[in-house]
Amino acid sequence: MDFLRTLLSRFAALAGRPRRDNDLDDDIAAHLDLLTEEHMADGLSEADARRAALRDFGGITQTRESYRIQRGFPRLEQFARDLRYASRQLRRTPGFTLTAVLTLALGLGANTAVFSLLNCILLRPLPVAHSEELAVLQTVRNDDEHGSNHSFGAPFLRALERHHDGFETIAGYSTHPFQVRSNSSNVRVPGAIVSGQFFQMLETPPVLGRWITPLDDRDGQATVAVLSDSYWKTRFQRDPAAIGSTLTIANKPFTIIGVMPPGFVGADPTYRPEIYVPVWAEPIVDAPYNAIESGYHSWWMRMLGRRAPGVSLDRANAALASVSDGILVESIPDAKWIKDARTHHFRFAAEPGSRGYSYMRDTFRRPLVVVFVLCSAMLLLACINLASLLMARAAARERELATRLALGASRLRLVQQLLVESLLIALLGTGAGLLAAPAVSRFLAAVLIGGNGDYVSLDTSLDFRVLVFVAIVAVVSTLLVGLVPAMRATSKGLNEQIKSGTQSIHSRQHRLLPRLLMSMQVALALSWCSAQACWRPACSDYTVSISASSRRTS
Amino acid sequence: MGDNKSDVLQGTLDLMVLKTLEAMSPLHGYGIARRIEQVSGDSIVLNQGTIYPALLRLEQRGWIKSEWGTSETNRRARFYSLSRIGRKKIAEETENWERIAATMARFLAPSN
Repeated sequence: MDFLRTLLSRFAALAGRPRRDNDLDDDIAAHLDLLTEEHMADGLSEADARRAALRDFGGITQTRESYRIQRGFPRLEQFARDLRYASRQLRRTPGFTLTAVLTLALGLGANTAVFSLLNCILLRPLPVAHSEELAVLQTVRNDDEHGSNHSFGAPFLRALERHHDGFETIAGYSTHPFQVRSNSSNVRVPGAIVSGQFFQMLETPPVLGRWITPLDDRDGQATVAVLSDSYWKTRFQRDPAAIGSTLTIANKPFTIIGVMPPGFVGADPTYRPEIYVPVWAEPIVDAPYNAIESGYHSWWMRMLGRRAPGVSLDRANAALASVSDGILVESIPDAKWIKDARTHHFRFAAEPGSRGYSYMRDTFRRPLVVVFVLCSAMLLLACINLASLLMARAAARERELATRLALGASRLRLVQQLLVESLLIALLGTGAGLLAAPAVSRFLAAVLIGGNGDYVSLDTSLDFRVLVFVAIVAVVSTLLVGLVPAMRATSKGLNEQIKSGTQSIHSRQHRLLPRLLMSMQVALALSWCSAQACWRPACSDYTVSISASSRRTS
Repeated sequence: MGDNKSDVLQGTLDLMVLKTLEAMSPLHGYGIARRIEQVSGDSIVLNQGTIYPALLRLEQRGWIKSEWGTSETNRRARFYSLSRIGRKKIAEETENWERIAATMARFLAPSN
């Protein structure tokens, strides 16, 4: 309680500072008067009494200082003062400030942009409840040099729907563009074919109407469709009468039964379906192809499952492995195929799926990481550049700093002040970089997609992970950039300063650091340029493989 | 007693101020400082200025309250008095202090 009261009164003291200073002065004046009176009563002259009073009182300045320290938030006030001083200094040299801020903005902006892309493709979980319970299914053979296979056919889907111990819900989906009638012509709309338990598994309630359920996903049922929020907005202007109306997909009527909330994208974070239809309707929307009829020759779906409460991934894996053989026999009519599979220890397995499944992930993991490293190197370069700029600037102020040191300022205090200056530059640079980052992200995303994937959409908006990343980078770059110049500038005493006169005679050691920085800069720049040269052809390789795989899945 | 003036621990100064105000209220800074010197039999000679941060501290905690008044020399000054919470705290702090003193006494006593 005492602590709280003290805190509150410290807050209150932040306002009305000059008045409170006057209050203390009044008190002190009254006090000194009374002391003087006392000494005069003892027989001293007025001047002597005054002096004795001052002696009794002790240092007035010290009293005022301890009072101020007790009263407000001295550290905060000090920081505010440093900030004002730093901004004044920066405003005096606008050329330098602009250069510094732009350098940092470039480095930070590029890094943030790449990181948001990384975040979107590799790190961010699906926006559904308890995404950590989700798992991506795969088929594993011991002879698979390409790792596991994530593609499933209709027979396996149906069999797994019947035997899904360890999983509460299990579902398959495939992303697919639909031909939708709009104003007497057909438009291509990104869509998804999903099995009965799909929406149940993702646990996101519709904003209107209802989901596709297992009952809807049976042969011969009514053709139904669920819309995304954005399609409901653009096509139906958010009219609630959309429920029950008809959408013509592939020239066949589909009844709209529900609308999903904004932000729901299904199980693939890099694809934004506008329409969802049940699996059994695949031959209709895929006409003239019929993947279901092709049975085990067509591997066109991905599968995910939500683990039952309390079931760990290992147990779910074990459950899958145990039903694998049974499902194999049940679904594949080809004895030779079964024998081959058994020889290679074919089984189903599950891996963590909180981030859903996207083929882009495997394709782009390495290039993204490479680009990220490149950008970090660029940021490092920018920081080193900035550090040498700041060092030159600090060198010009060495005399001022040495004088202040001689007058009694502590080195820590001066370094603090200089660091606040670099903090200000870092903040401005971060702000500018953040403004530019989304545009750079979009550009990078466009380069990655390369116009090859259908309706691949990357949500590169800033989420808290990106912001945390940016904050850390800003702080680290401040320290990197500001600490060395600050330490250097405050290292010489006033004596040495005066001795060295107008021309600074630097010792061998003094010259080493700038040279080291310069060589680091050149080395980084060279390696960066050569890495760039290698990256372009590597990137075109990947865009080729995207177009190949997108043809496979469509 | 040179540097020992700062050795008059914050806590003990606070307690002395509280006891002084318990006995005589309201007092201004000079009065409190003077009375502390008197009661301690002039064995403590503090820089009288140090009383002000201490008074501020106590006021922030809510143990004492202040009012503006006029001093004997017709100057505007603050007069301090105990608050209700402060009165309760005196008993608590006194007990605290006596416990510490007793513990120290045991340490310093010659062992038999």
